[in-house]
Amino acid sequence: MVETLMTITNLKKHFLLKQNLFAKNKIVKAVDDVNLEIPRESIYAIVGESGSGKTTLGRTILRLIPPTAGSVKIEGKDVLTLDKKEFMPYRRKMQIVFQDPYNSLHPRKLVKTVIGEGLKIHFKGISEMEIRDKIREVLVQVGLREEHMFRYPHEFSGGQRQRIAFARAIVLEPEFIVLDEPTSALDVSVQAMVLKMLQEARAQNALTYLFITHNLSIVDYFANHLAVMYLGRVVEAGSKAEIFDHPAHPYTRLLMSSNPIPDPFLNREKQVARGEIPSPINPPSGCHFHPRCPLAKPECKETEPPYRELAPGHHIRCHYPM
Amino acid sequence: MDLRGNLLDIRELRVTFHTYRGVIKALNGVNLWMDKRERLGIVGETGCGKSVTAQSVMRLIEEPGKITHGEVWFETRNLLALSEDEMTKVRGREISMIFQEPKSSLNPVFKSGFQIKETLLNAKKATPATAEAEVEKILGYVGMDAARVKNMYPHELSGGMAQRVMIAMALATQPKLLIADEPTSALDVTIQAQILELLSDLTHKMGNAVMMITHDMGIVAEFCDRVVVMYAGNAIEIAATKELFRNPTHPYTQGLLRAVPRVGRPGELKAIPGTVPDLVDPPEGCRFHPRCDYATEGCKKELPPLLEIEPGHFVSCYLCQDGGCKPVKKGEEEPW
Repeated sequence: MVETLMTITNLKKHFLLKQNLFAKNKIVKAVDDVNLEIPRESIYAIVGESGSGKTTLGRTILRLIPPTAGSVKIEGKDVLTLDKKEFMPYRRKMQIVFQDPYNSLHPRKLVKTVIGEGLKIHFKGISEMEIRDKIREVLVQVGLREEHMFRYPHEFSGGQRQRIAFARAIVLEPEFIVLDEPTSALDVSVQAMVLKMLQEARAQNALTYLFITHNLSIVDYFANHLAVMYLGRVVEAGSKAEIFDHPAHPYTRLLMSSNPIPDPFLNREKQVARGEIPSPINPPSGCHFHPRCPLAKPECKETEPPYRELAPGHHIRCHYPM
Repeated sequence: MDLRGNLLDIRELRVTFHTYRGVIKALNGVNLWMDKRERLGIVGETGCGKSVTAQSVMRLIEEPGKITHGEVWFETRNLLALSEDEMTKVRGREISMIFQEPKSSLNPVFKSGFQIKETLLNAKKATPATAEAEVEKILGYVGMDAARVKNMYPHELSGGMAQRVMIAMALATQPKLLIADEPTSALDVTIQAQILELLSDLTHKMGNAVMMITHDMGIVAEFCDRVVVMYAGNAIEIAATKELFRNPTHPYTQGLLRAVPRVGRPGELKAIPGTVPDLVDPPEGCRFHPRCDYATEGCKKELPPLLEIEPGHFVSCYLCQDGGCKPVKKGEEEPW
């Protein structure tokens, strides 16, 4: 039995869009009723297009933005309701690496400051020597060299910066890291190196990743679980093998079909979506996907499908799964 | 003059950019060519010169950039020798271009219908009397509700819609060549699939050639007839798409194909060691030699010529000089 690290229940994050004095304020349901179980030491991918709420989900879990409702339980404790002092150890245990390595590192701080800053906060009374040792250790682990700690971020390439951002996360010995599209700003040859480094570091440090991405090819290579999001809702979730072999939601199938495959000998029927991704401010009624769904029936327009278990561990939000 | 392609032939093109750090040698003698109605893919990583190549064809290289050497033959004319006035007649009429950021390529203060009309009138493809109807027809071709979209400003369009308007504008003049510079990298995958299908259908019907600039091997595999792989300012391998995937020969092409993750083919990704060189001070000889597993002393001295190792398959690598040899290490299966 695989141990569960994190249980996310009915998590919601709604943003209020202020209108003028006379119009009613609008609500954007960026994350709407998300339920996930993240196994310990897994790589859990969150897949979706822009506006699907995948980044907001990652940030809400970490309490970088306050949630609207729901709970995120680690070891039976709901981290969303803890007060500031109780939450501190969880801040350390849950880290994040952002998408754009050019904006996520302070340009005027040396790499050693960027990486070491968190240590001073989370390990009270740590000596300068110990900090230095730890920085040295993580730099080597992410594939950089010791002397890199005396340089500034602008002296590094995109791939190296992403390694620094990752070093900053793992130096605090976390258990859980949100990787928010960590390679989408990188070229493929660099991406391959960074993904490999992330995999090795995961095994070495017994980490659990929440891997946010829009690229299904990377998911197949990198993750072992995935959740597909569409307009704030998780429409399908389960183990990677199960979903890749038996995608049950029409949107998951559409995503897979839209993903270009680098094989000119492959003859496959390409399914092309109808219409655009609707605005999250004003999503379609019932199932959000119904206007683009090839299989939509009247019921899909009227009632919202419940989130249910299709097969053990395979969840779906669809009236008529395939 | 013996041209290698009956539409476009780029010969020994060199482009430099003068910056405070020194001279960036962005293109280092690029050779590539296209036939009519062909779909040519240009792939490579950031900074390899794929966009600069396209901009040189359109003569859009501006200060501090400079085309220092080479020829760009378009049918029977060398575009680099034309006067600015003559070139203006080529741009948008015989060669059109669409860009990565469709929204910033449109003028924000004019309605999209007006912008298409302007293009038509400029190219004399319509008269003021017929233009309005023509605009609606063209917007219909790109799959949009013409009556609504022609009155919309660019900020009211989504990324996918804006790219459709750009395609409508680019193809309205029935150019012989459409240059698409990463037309879908800013779009979501489901929208990307729509745009690629649209481009494919329209150019097939109208018979335009397409130069597709991309970094995505998946788009190359699904869209292009022939591929040019670029690295650090050179075209290093040119082949028909299937031939390139079946028989990648340049060590960089092999590395690139191994580094691309692919659904249904789990297993190890192999990265290319090292990083892309700084083009202010590029390596001598073959620019890939510092990262190449097979590099010899000869590779450091002179740039290898583009040799035809099989009919239609060109490689710029010394390992292939004796005709069709392939740099695969012993005992290593072909993992692409």
